[in-house]
Amino acid sequence: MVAILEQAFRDQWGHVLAALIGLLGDFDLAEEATQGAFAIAAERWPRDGAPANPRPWLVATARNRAIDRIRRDRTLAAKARLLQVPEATEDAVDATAFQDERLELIFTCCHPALATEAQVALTVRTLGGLTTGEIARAFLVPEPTMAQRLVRAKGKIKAAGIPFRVPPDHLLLDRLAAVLAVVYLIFNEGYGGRGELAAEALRLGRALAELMPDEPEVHGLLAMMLLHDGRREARFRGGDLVLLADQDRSLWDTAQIDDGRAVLDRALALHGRGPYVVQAAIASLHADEPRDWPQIAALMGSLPASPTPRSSR
Amino acid sequence: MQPPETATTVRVQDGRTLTTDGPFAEIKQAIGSYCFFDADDLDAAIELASRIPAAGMGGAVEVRPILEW
Repeated sequence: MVAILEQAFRDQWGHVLAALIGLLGDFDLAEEATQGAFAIAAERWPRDGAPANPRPWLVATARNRAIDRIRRDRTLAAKARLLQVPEATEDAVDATAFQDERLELIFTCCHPALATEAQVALTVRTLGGLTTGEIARAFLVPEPTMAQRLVRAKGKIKAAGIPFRVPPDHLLLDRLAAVLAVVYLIFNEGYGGRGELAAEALRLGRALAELMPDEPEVHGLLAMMLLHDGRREARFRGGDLVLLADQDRSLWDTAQIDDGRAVLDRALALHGRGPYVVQAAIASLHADEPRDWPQIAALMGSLPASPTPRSSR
Repeated sequence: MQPPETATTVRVQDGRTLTTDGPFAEIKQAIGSYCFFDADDLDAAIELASRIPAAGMGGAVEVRPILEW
């Protein structure tokens, strides 16, 4: 049962929180209610069994918690949106009643009016469900600093009126680039050894690929992360970096590398030629033996000019 | 106005709107003017700010919500 609860937390936290923020328009209240719902689940599921479909149960329970809380605070009038929602009962839940609003949530968290470090922290907190303490340790900052960063970011979303929505078409490509940059930053933090962040970035990448199936760069980023992460076990020997040519290939996660190549094929089929797709293609070629250097060099040449790829060539 | 933490600074370079978190920091520069407008959300406010000519002429426009009483 503990395993079921942990799994539900990992799989559902982002969904439930996104639905609650969409409903309430308030990050703090939504977060508190979502936490409350998981606490109730931890108490009831071992006794009554887990619901067949946990997500609507959790969303309805969180919504009830939020309604109770608002009633207690006597600010019902200020939250008029809630009044339009019929009374929820936990045992009669319509599974189709809740939309997936994780995409709205990730675009809000990665809004360019927030500092990059705040975007990263908020994304990991709201979509990944990592605690403030876990995020602080992962990014090597003191917990109060991270707590303040999150409070400030949420305060700005509310005060400055950062909208909870997927950006309109004329803003979408720029904003998507910001979202992908945040996921890549999280992955990079994990690349240095903090595996939980790499796993988190992969989860986010998969969620984005599911939510935006027609965007080649989304698949490009996921493919690149899968291909690099697939070589994780071989990259270090007792704390020392092992160069690609010297790596023990039997330590590579070949299933994951195959998975990365399949995602790359999807990106290429969508005519993706952006920087993430190109880097994923390079990573794929590097996993071959012998390596196709002329093709790697050609792909390197097509990346935007920056010192690192130029020297790698 | 609401505190500086709520500010967003808007610049336009080569036709692209760039936003940064926080107030316009180079206070040695002169503040040219200020204006009040209604916007549905921050995206709409940034859009309006980007149309102020100074944002594209090497200057910057700081957007801040107003405290409502």
